[in-house]
Amino acid sequence: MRLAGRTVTFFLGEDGKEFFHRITGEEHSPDLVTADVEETDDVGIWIRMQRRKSPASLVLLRWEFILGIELPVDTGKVVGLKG
Amino acid sequence: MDISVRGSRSSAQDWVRAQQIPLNEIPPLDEQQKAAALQMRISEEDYARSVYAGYLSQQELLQRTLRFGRWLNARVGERTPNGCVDAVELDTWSGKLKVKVLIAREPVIFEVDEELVDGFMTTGSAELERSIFRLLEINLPQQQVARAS
Repeated sequence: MRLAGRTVTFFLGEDGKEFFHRITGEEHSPDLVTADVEETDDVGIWIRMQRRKSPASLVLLRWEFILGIELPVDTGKVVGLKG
Repeated sequence: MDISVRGSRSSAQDWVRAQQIPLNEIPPLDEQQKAAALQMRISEEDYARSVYAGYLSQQELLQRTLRFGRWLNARVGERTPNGCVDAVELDTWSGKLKVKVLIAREPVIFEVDEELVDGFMTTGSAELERSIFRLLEINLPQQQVARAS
């Protein structure tokens, strides 16, 4: 399954919650995070992040931080033209 | 020739563009998309920006698929005088292009890996071109396809 370029929901383990707590600086540690995926590699998933008043950045979410992934299936959406 | 793209995915460039555009310039979500945002526990604004980024990239994929379709149609026409490409559909989920060729009005449908097409269209590689010609040899009636040079 190719995740690159898709909007994906990640269910986080304890380390994942701690990781997001640190990078967002928010008090509450999220159980899940929804983000757009840039690419995946052996280490984890590079996600795109846009924090308030900060430039967009890529963040590496390590595989061991992730309990599961939910991906909406939009197979019905088709665009086309006459060539 | 019908050209289509099924599903969407966004490039980093389009995603950044969608993050920077004023919210009032982004198309509003429909009810199905609002339900998807709720399901993913993401704000409607964030999801609208992701959807818009996907839309921008989908238009680029459509143009890329069109360029390949035109190139392939010319190659099919050179090698199979009574043949033409009738439709090309890129499925972003499977990463394949479904090609429908008409030969004497009879349809022949086969698939080409998106990576192969992207590689060929961005490098012009003769080796990748041979792979595409090989697919024509395999999938189109043998007597109607000449060997690639």
